Amino acid sequence: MNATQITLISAILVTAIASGVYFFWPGSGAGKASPNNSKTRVSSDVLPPTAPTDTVDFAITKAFNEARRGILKNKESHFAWGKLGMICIAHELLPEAVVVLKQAIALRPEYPNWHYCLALALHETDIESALKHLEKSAALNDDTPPSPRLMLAEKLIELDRLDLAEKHIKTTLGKDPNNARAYLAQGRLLYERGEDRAAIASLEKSLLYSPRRKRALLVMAKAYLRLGNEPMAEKIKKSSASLRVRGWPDPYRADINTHRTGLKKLLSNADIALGYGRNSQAVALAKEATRDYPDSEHAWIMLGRGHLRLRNLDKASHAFDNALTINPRSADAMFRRGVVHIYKKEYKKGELLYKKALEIKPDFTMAFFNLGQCLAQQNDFPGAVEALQNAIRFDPNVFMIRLRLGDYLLSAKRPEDALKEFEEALALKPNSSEAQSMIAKVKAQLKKTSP
Amino acid sequence: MSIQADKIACMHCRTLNTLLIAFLAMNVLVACSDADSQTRSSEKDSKAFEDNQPRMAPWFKDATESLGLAFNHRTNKLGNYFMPQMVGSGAAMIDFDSDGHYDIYLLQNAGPKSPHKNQLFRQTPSGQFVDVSTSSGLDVPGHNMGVAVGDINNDGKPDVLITQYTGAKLFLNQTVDNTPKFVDITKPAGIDNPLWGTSASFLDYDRDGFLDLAIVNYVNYYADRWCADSSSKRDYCGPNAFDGRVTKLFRNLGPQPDKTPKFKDVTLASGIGRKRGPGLGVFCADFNGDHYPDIFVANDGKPNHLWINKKDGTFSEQADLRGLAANRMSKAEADMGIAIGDVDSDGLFDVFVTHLHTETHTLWQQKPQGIFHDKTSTLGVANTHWRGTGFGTAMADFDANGTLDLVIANGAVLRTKGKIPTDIPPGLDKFWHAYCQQNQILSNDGTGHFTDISLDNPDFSKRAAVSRGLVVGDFNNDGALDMLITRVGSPARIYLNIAKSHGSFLTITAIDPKLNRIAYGAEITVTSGKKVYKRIVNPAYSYVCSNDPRAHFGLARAGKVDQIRITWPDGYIESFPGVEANQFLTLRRGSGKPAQSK
Repeated sequence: MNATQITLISAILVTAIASGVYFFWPGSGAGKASPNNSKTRVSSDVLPPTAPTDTVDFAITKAFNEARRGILKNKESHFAWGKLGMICIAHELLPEAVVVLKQAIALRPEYPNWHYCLALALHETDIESALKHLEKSAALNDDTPPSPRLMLAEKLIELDRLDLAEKHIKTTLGKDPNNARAYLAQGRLLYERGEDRAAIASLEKSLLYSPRRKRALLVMAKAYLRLGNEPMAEKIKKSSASLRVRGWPDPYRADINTHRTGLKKLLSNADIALGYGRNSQAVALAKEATRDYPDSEHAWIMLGRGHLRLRNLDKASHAFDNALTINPRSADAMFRRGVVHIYKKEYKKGELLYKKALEIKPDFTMAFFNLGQCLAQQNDFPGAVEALQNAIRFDPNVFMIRLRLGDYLLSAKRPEDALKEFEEALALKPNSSEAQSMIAKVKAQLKKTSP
Repeated sequence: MSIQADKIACMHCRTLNTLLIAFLAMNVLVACSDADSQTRSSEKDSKAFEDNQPRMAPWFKDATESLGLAFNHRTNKLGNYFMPQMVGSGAAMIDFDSDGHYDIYLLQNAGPKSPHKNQLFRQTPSGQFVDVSTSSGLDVPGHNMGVAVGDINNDGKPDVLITQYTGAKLFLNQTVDNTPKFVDITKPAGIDNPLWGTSASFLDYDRDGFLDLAIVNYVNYYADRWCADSSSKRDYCGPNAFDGRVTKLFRNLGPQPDKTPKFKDVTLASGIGRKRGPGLGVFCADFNGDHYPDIFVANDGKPNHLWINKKDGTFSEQADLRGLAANRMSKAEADMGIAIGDVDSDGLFDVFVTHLHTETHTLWQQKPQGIFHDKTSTLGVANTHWRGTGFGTAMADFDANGTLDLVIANGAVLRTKGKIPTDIPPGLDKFWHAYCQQNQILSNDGTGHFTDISLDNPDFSKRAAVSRGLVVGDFNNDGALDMLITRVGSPARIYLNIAKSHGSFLTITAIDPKLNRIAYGAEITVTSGKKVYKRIVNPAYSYVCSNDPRAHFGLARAGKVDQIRITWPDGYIESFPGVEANQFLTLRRGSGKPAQSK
């Protein structure tokens, strides 16, 4: 090894460590290849693409340009090219991703990650090339993690190349006999072949090894239906109804996601935080969003949502007002500002705001609902009934609207009509004790008044 | 009465929060699902057509100008990314004056206050289209989306329903002679659809002889919502930014004492109102073989719905179970237009649905009855010269070789980032150029396997546009199926069938004399030698359009057919004797012999 080679290796390692994208998965190929090979395969004249000129989000442009500068500092660093590739994928800049990942692969063909990333960038538009890169990635990473081979198998099933898919599934299961994703793929494959009983057996194994049940249950229901067991199919389908489709764990994709940045990421994270009840964290993220993107009404709305959760009503009002300053016709912001009025028991103000929101969006079901509430609180029950009847025109199947409409009809001294609404509510939610008790109450009332 | 303000307010926050989550998710989805690029071959340039070595003579020629069809589609002000602009408008093939020459009704999308109104064109005996919109009653403005045609009062005259962005209008046909007269009976008839309607279909779900109505609704749209492409540049929103809406079902109660047809909203009572979805396409037919019409709704970016008729006025949603909810990987795609037909001649109809150009359109093969399998890759549908975002679509035997071909009307929903087509409709606003894509034709080789023949059909496929609606029918009554395409912001085009390889044909109109109208929902099976052909009578397929209600059969070289069987909408099966090919046949219920179900 001569001095130039040593310098080159050092530069690559420094860049890799500095860019924080060094991978430690067993069998990933990291450290296996000789940079000498890369040097002979790639032209140092190749320049990375520039950031797309129409990218509005400064944070994305900044991340792109930083990664690009990393390449320019060391054009033979596959990590530098790969990092830019991942940034591109994270922000759906797929043409750019393809260019830079090809260069990363040219520099380091033995590195499995870039093949997988390139497959992700290509699979919607050039499936044959994507398959080749998945196969390469799977071969290079020794199935650790198994995501390249399993994605390959799934794509092959999609393309009806079942025999080839089966080969890859067997390879995965040979190395990891408890792999739920592989069993799901096997179940699908067997279902496609018409081997329904065998498919069910595989799907049962998938269910055994993973909490990600929805897709396995759906295929299983179809297999039972084809076997003529409709009750079982219906039962399984029902059991899957409330489940959500969840993705499989994939360290490669997780790594790509760490490169996401910008307004969307901030708002998305704030939203997730709210979903988990981490309201203060959501507020902190939304504050960051309003600081970096003060012209974004969505950032202000998110901040208002967080404050509303924390019952910081004045701060919530301020945030929604800012959103309305940016977009005076934001029916969303008006709606949420109206919620603050309801919390503050400012029903007249709420009424006016909801009426304004409905001028902008006449089919705004929930604005009708909250308008009804504001009116009911002012003892305008006929008005409240009308508002909720309007809500039902747009959304006939919302339990709470039916129930509340029954309440208002009862207050408006229309018990027969109220009974109908409570019955509709019960039909929508057959186990509702609230609806049941209201029905019993109204029936007793009607019995009393009947001659 | 105590009202729990906090509880209610919170509940609503949750609902709207879902909306915001959808916005966030949508941006990701949109970016990855329709972010056109130079790596995504969604367009072939003119040179590809010039370099193409034709394997066959073209099937179609553009006859728009020569037939006098002068309709320019308009939208309201561009640049505000008002989503209904992107969804486009449909058209109907309708013989409003019952003279045997099918007329054309085309919808506008420029808003309720616009001077640009829907147009009705009467076809003269010489085949020219004459604008008869004024005073027809159908010349209404609006953000008009879809159109359905059906005789709602069994008077022998086809009536018209149009869907709109937050509305629907029902028009009763009172035409006498050749002067069109349609009366808006929306309110007295009890049609109330304040949602964003898209496709619609008439069907007789309760088999009482009166056509009921299914209106598919799209999303709970917020016009002030800001949506952007992957580079944060503003563009049209995708469906996942909003909640889906319910499909509405209206039961036809028959004419009332004052002779006005009356409908009852049975959306909730029928069970159809229990599930929401961003619906764009609809097709009503018997999907499970029990001779009761079911309702298939194509949802944009969400699992499709297949409402199976339980024969008691209610429906059960079974798309998941029967394989039509999503593709074979259980992935719900952006489902838009629907085409139905028996592509492999096994006696069971198959289902084709168009998607985004970053997905593949899906072809589900039915086997056994009532179970559908995604066979997109196997049947060659994914192997095309280019990919497009498909809307209108149809399966039809254009060359009459005895097998069903496929046509797709394409146009992007987000700006193309790569090469923008240069061969575009003259006069099209520059705003739309980045959304233009080319249409496609796929020929069936007889086994259900398709080959892209778009390059051999430059009139239909060379020029890119923002195509949406696609109507198929025999406009000039020559026994060959023609096409009409609607396009956002540019003139509609009519393409006449000039296929030289054309085989023989049979066109059947199935009439129930007691109902005095075409028997929507009837299934017609024609046997010629060993070949069996099947068609379903229902003009509501494709996307926001109404097609030729007659059943067209391509018969290849057969000079006659051996037998015709009709399963009427109430399940009664009748057999009719064989006839010579190359004729238009009207078959009336009761004039054949009762037959057993096979």
